Amino acid sequence: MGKLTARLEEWKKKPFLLRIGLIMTGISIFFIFVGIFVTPYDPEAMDASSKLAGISFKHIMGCDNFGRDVFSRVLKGSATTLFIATGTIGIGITGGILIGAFAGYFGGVLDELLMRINDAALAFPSVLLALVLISLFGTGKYQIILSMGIAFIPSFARIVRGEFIRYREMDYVQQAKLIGAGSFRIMFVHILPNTFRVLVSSILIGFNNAVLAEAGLSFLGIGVQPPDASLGRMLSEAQAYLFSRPGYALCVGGTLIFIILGFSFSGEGIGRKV
Amino acid sequence: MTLLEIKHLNIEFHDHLIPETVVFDLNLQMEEGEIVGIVGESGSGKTMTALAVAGLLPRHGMKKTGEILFDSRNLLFCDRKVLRTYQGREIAMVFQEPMTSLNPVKKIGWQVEESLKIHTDLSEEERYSRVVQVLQDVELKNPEEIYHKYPHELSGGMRQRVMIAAAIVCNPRLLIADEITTALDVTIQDQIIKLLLKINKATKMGILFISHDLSLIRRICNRVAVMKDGYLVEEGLTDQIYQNPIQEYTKRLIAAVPKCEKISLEEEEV
Amino acid sequence: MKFIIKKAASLLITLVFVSLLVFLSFEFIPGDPASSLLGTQATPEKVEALREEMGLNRPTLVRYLDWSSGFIRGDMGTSYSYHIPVKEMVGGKVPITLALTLLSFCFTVMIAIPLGIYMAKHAGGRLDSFLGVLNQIMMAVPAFFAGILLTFFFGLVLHWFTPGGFVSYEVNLGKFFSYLILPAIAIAIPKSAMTAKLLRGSILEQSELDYARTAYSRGNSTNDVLWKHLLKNAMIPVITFLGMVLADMIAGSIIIEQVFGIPGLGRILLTSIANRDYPVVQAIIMILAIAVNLINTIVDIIYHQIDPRIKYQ
Repeated sequence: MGKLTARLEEWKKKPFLLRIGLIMTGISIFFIFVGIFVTPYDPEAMDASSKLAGISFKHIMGCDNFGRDVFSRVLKGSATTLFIATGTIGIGITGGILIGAFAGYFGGVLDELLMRINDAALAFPSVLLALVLISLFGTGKYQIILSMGIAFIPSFARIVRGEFIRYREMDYVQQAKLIGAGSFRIMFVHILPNTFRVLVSSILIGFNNAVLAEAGLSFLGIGVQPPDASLGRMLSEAQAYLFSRPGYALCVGGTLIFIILGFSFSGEGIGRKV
Repeated sequence: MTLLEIKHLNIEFHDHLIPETVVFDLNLQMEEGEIVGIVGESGSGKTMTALAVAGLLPRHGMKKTGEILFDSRNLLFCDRKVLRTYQGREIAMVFQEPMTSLNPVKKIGWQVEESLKIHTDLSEEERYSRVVQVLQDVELKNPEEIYHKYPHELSGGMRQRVMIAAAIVCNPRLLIADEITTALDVTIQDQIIKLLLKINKATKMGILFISHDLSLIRRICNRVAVMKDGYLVEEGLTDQIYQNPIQEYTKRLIAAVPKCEKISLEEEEV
Repeated sequence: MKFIIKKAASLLITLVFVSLLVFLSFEFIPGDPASSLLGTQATPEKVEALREEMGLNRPTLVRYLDWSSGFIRGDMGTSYSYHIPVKEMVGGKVPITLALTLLSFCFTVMIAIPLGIYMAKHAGGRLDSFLGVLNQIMMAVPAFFAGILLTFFFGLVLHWFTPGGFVSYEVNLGKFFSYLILPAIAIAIPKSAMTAKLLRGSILEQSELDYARTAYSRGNSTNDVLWKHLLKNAMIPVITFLGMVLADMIAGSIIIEQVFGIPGLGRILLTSIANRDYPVVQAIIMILAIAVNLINTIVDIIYHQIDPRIKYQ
């Protein structure tokens, strides 16, 4: 009991935004996680009798134009969206660390070359870059992850490079060199952990951008392909029935905003705490 | 004639959970044209006192009581509009950090001229010649050139001279100098002190000189007030206090001033 | 002046890299454009003849130089799907996307700057906290969902406009812009929320600095300190951000065009991607990249005008 109240006290001390954000993110993740195993209806099951059914106890978010339960599809679509965002950030951060670390640590011609290419890639907004890559790789869940992941590399590479340049001249790095540590050891054991603080905040921002970008691409019909559900794709389907069933678009869009808000409130809260 | 009179000044901060009093019942008087020093460690309340006189205390999160009389008006509680007519025209202030106290995106001339624009009806040409004049007064070479420069193009010492020029451009009756030499090299410190003495002599401007450095205070001030933990512990003529300190704290403060003696090796090893 | 020349030179170098990137990415596409063009009728002889005709047999470098020099002259190649010059397909659409982007940008600046200043001036107050949370919510609304909401509310509930309607700028310029207002607002909502938040924070950060206190010590009022001293300094990061926003809007407009059924560059880009009509995709990407880089260069130059410290770095 005492432990619980202590926990509660600690929780109350956290900034208001962080608490709201964590609660919202917690709710999203809980539902998505449960949704992987069990949904009220089969997300793919079509039921001709309940085409475009409104919100009811039976279907808490109504049904779509094929009579599929929107809530079940939202659960599945959110899972896809989060999966893609996670994969995107994974590729982006790995590539960003590799390129940024080598360019920042070694400098010189390598840096110049890598950063020129990086700048050329950064000259595109990441959605546009993802569009180009999608036109090369094609559409689909994994193609989207690859395309967006590559599109996210340049911005991470820039951040990591900046940090490496900052740290490579520091005394403790010079000292590590003196005792004969190899370049790789210095880069990934001595310098990399120091960049985590900066990386965490850019990962949170990047995660939000990835969710938004996936939704946008799927909305355009060049992201996730059926039968995979995705919030963006559902929104573009819902738009056609905006007049007869505005609730469809509102529920899907509301869910998207709820997920993004959860992350952005948490990110904001963490930022204020630091 | 009395220039400034501080009576029962109390300053208390309320922006933390526990209210923190930084100045306790401070009384201080300053004559027209006098140079008065306030000396104390950091956190002794000397800068807060200076900010209170200059009307620069934050408006929220604090409680202040007492009187700061200037022209028999209590500046501590007067209307902001009235206070503004004093700031820059009658009371001017120079701060500790010359590197950050100037606006980085405005030219030097513009910044020195600003008080004239706010407080006088001078024409553009008159303002320009006054600015060039005052830049010359603070012993800056090529004032016309400096007029068109940006702060980052000047050294710390030059910037502090610019700050002094901007402060005295309206010929204020009171100049508050808050640790103005702390961030400067010793040789430049010396020049700035001489400059302040020269200005005081030429214009009969009263100077409230705030420093933690007793040796500087001794060189420039007729009278000195010693502050510790928000209290004024001792006040009097500088030489008198220097030779016959009454309070234990003042004695220690004087003893702490490094003397220009050779430090013996044994002492250094301890 | 020297700075502008230097920036222009670096713009050119970046564009060369960008064009190489764009050209080479399409080199690595699996599949041969000639055979995919011929589809089921493809015989090895026919494919070979078409390859020869399309110049695909020449070395990559020659074709890059050919393509890029053509692009500079305004010749963007021929569409695979429609067999008409790309320039004809794309040219008329550029003003539409340009107008949409610029209108969105104007809205963003018009909303964000007064809002950011207002929030900074009343920082800590009730209205500031309320606006702060509202702002955070607006930032989370994807532009295309904002577009859907606007369509629903103004189109279907209030009947102020016909969803999906559009009038070309060649027919009626006034009507053309009236159809762009809502899409532009949809793009501007999240962007102005972000910009206002940044400006608020930037002003507050500046107001903590020593020079702000100096300004007060000269008898400036709070408003004077804000307008004469803080704002110019506070705008420095905001201008960089606005440059990024403008570049982002170009990409964002592609999505919004789809929501509102505006026949701009976005729509051709999407159909061309679907049809694997690479000359068109290449041309549009290149146009957008040039626009984005031009914006970045202009922002750098403005930045340099505002912040005197940059010249000496």
